[in-house]
Amino acid sequence: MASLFRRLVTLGVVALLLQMIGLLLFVLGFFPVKPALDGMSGAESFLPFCKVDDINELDRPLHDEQYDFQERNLDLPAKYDRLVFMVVDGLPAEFVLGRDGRPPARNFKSAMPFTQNLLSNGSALGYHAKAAPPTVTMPRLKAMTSGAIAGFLDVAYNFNTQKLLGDNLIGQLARAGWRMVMLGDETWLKLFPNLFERHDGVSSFYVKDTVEVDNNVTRHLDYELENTDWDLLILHYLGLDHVGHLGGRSSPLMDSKLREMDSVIERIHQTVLSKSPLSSRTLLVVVSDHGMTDGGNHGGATYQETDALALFITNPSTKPDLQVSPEASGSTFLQDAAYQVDLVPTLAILLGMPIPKNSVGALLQPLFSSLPPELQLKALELNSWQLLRLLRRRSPHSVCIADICQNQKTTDGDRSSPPSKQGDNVLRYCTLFNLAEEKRKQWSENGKEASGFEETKEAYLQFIRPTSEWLASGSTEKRLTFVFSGGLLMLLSTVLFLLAVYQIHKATFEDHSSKCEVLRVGTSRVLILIAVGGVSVHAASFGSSSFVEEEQFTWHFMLSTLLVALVRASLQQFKFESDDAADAISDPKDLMSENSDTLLADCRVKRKHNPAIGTTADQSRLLLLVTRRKLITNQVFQICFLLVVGRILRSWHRSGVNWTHLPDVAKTLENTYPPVIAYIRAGCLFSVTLMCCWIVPKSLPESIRRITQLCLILSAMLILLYFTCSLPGLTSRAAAWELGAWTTVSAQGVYCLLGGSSLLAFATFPWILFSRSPCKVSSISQEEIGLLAESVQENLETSTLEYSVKRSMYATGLVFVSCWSLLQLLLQQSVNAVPIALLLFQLLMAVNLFHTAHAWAPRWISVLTLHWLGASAHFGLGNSNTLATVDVAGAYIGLSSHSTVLSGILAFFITYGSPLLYMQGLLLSINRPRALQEKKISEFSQAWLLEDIILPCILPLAMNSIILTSFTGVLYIMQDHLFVWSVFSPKYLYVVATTVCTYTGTLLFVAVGGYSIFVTSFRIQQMDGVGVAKRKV
Amino acid sequence: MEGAKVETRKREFSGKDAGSVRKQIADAHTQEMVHRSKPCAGKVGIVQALCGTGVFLGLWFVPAMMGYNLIDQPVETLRICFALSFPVLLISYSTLRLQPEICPMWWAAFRGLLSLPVGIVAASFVGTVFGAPISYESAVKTFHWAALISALTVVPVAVVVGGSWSTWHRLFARTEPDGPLELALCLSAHCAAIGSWVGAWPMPLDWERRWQEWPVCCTYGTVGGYLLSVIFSIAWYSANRGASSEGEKKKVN
Repeated sequence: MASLFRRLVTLGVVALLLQMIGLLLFVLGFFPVKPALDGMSGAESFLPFCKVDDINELDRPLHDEQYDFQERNLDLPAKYDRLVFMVVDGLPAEFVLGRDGRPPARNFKSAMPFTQNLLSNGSALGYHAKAAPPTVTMPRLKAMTSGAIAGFLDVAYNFNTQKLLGDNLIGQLARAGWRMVMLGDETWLKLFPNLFERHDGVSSFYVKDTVEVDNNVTRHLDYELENTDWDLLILHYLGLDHVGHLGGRSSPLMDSKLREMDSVIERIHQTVLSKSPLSSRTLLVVVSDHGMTDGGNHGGATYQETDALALFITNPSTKPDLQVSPEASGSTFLQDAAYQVDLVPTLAILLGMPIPKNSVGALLQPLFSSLPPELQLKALELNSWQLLRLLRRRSPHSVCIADICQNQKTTDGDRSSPPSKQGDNVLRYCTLFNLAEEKRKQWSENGKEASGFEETKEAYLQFIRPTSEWLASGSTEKRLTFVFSGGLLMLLSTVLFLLAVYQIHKATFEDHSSKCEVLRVGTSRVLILIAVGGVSVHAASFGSSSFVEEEQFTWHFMLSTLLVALVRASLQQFKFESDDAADAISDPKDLMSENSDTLLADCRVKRKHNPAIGTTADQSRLLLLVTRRKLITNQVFQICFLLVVGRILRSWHRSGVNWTHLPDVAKTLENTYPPVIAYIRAGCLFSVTLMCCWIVPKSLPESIRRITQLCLILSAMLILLYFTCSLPGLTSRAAAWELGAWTTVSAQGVYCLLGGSSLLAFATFPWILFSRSPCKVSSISQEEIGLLAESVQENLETSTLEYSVKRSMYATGLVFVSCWSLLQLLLQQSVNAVPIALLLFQLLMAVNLFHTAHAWAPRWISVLTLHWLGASAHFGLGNSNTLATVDVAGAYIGLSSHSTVLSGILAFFITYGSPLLYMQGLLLSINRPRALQEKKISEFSQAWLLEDIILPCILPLAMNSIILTSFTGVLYIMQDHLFVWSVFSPKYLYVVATTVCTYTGTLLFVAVGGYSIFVTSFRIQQMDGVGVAKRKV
Repeated sequence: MEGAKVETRKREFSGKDAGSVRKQIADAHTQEMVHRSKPCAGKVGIVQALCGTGVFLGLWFVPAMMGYNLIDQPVETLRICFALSFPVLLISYSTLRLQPEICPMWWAAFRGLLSLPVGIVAASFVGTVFGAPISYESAVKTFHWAALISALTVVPVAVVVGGSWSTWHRLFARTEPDGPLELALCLSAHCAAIGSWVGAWPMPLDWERRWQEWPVCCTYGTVGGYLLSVIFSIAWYSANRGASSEGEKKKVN
């Protein structure tokens, strides 16, 4: 046995280490962080591409010098000095520009008469500006101002950071001394704090409000439009997005909202663009940050969501500026597809600013068509240089880029010879760039003919467009060695874990099959089929993006299947009189051994109460039969309870992607009557506290029980205080600040109380709960004790160890679970109070079930069921496999200052509240020590270590490693899939986070178990020492 | 999933007769009778073929004649299918009832009728617990689906076996059918339930087909599983006819 333990522990640790290393390697290899350029572009961006390099190398402090690019940039002066940047949140370009050459729907068209008129007479130019996922406001605003599309991991890294730190257009304008005014979504204020002279931020928090939110912007228009002290006016209208969220694209409110937007555009056009003295140098840009689905949601990568608008409107007198290309002028519904990031270089050059450093956009050339050819080419050249700089940053060792520089320095070098034989994209772009440069040279040498100009322009565009797309796609080279070695290591670790699980199963199976073979074999076969089949089907389902998006269905379905199979397994134990008669004849003892210890105990209690029955063998068998039936009925009811609770949790939040817009319980509660949530929350707090106080382990001394209960009640009261203080609309704004401090203090108090009591329980329970096992020594006859004194002594130690360790683990687990539930009540959003209470009940019910059912449910079944319950409820708390559902708001509860680490931990606790609860539940699901009391001393062995300590550690790790490894494989195979960045990669982050969660849970289990074993064996040794000393005396 | 409905049902019954020992003994008695009077495999095959045809016609041909189909009018189609197959099942299986000398045919059919509401409640419970939507419209669909699946799983057993709980237990909890009749009952019930389970898998896929909606694909799964079991057991009988009769002769000897 001992060698098996050592082998299993070694196996587990080795597999764990391999998995960690493999995961790290894979992540590093597969998700390269996009290399970005630091600092802000300055005058150097107007210098040829390679000269900038020289400047950087020479380390001339260009940034600190007088900001003189305006002078340097004399050959390409700014075209506009004033900009009105109007953002209509969530407006799909389809509403304005139509789709696939068709005009927009008639009602939309008639709702925006002025805009449509501008488009048709050519004084406005519209684009379908494709937005990159995630199609959520803040990342889109970042992209629209910085021109950079963050790499996948950047999105995850920057989840909490709000201020836009990179080089961006607004920053450039501020540096150039532009005066700015912002009206609308306060996201702008978070992104660019202290840059605006005047601002009125509106919150997008109350989605139900579609009118006030826009009136708050429009009410300033009269003043601002008359005013001339600003250079940049940002208007961000949220109403349309709210309309979409409420009623979808075809909402009855949509037409009037579009009409309102149209009237705003008309007002701006009539004032700033027409009457103002600066009107000819003013540009109006109407954009939307993202589109919306038919149901009005956004965040994903479908056409409807990414179809954002970019509309450029200028002074009517400078109308020829926006020459609409002849073929398109017939139908004004331009099919020019652009990217949202294209706004950045376009606006930068139109406004005479340097292009921000990490902008990957391409110039929208038609906007420059009124400029003289030379300047047009200059603009294209600036864009090309800037892209080339990014290209060099992306592949720093590319020979061809270096060659371009050398060629430029040594003018007529051996340009004809290809730089190297790499057939990659970078080389292609280099060639295209060289071609464009050559064309330009020829053109200027040939006296700047018109035909040559078109050709040169085309050549530049042919370089710019694909380079921009390639840079935006983020397809940097993957480090294949890392990827493959990481994958292999993870595969190896999975194999090792499975090997360990198999060994445990074999060992425990042998152990049990000696006692009772028939029933358990039959039960196990179906359950094994469901477990293995379920895990395999789940792993295989990741191949389909829908199953990744809608994983909650898979989990819930598998869990229900398992529970129904448990009903069947439990009913299998049901016995009829006739069966028993046969059994009794064959072996009367058999019946006894099959039954659980609890059953026997119950039976004995009954006999004690009613001594009239139970004298003859027949009657006792009958009694046993009835008790067993009662037990089975109880078990079936308990499993049905688990099923029903699972179903309620499933319907609480409609997780996933495709059906999120449909109503669910949480949404219904929020939409019908919000105050009721507060009452429900308080009720849940009350019942959870009651439950927690009730389950405080009874094995503890009375005083410690009281103290634990006091701690729990105290923290519950603090949580209640927090709830009351954070009720919205409770008090005036002045009092809110004071209350804010109170909420922070009360939340911190809760953290201290709960954390402290958990730690104390962990540290002291093994000492407090140490006791000799109350098992029956008397059942062994005196002679036997005399004969086997040594082995009895050994068994006594084993039994004491087992008894004490289990008792302390069980008690610690109860305190952990209580504290965790209360913590979750504090942290989770208020609608989740009911699911948390249900989770606690579900866990206790499941634990209770497996305590009574260990006659037919092998140990691994209980671990598996708890694991699946936790994973299934994860989605019931509103989580999904998209990053949008991470509850960032809760991650700041109780934090008085910003701390990325602390809020990260809190966000992790919130997201993985349910799996972590069930990992702690594993401490409870060890065989209850009460059952041990019925055992004889001679029955004790070390086997419990295997079932109750090693298995609960290895099995969750093994199941998680199967998911991790298979999803890693799926991600690698799907790396060119359309949804790789929108579906598979976010899911991979979740898989990694789940792995971390499993590690955390296992670590907790190992810590509690190991510490209890250590303390108990120390006490046994101490006791023995005393005993020996006494004997000597 | 297999036998889940029955088990949940059984729970209710087990509560009723938990204490009554006399009933148990009577059950044991019935069981002995079961062993004595086994209908021959050929008759079972014919009944099964009849029921299979009834279900098949009920789901596809008759609704099509009346201008319905499962995808567009699931409730109506399920109703037609049930109305057609339920009498067929009830009557044809009651010819196979155990102890025909004690139990008249009307009694067998009656207990089948009695078992239907219980089966519907249990099947609706299981279907809902597995994720069937709860709105009123969906509840109507769930009800109709539950009626069909309990007609295919619970009713035949109730008709044939009646109140012999130990046989129910043997069939559904232990899956140890004895003889061709029990095999047919057990197989078709399990196949219908597992078919329904399998049929639910395509539902989360984003193909946006109408057959993915509840309860269309589950119904296809149920009926498909049932028909498969019928075909399989008929094939098995015809293949093993000689062998099984020999085996029975040996047993008698």
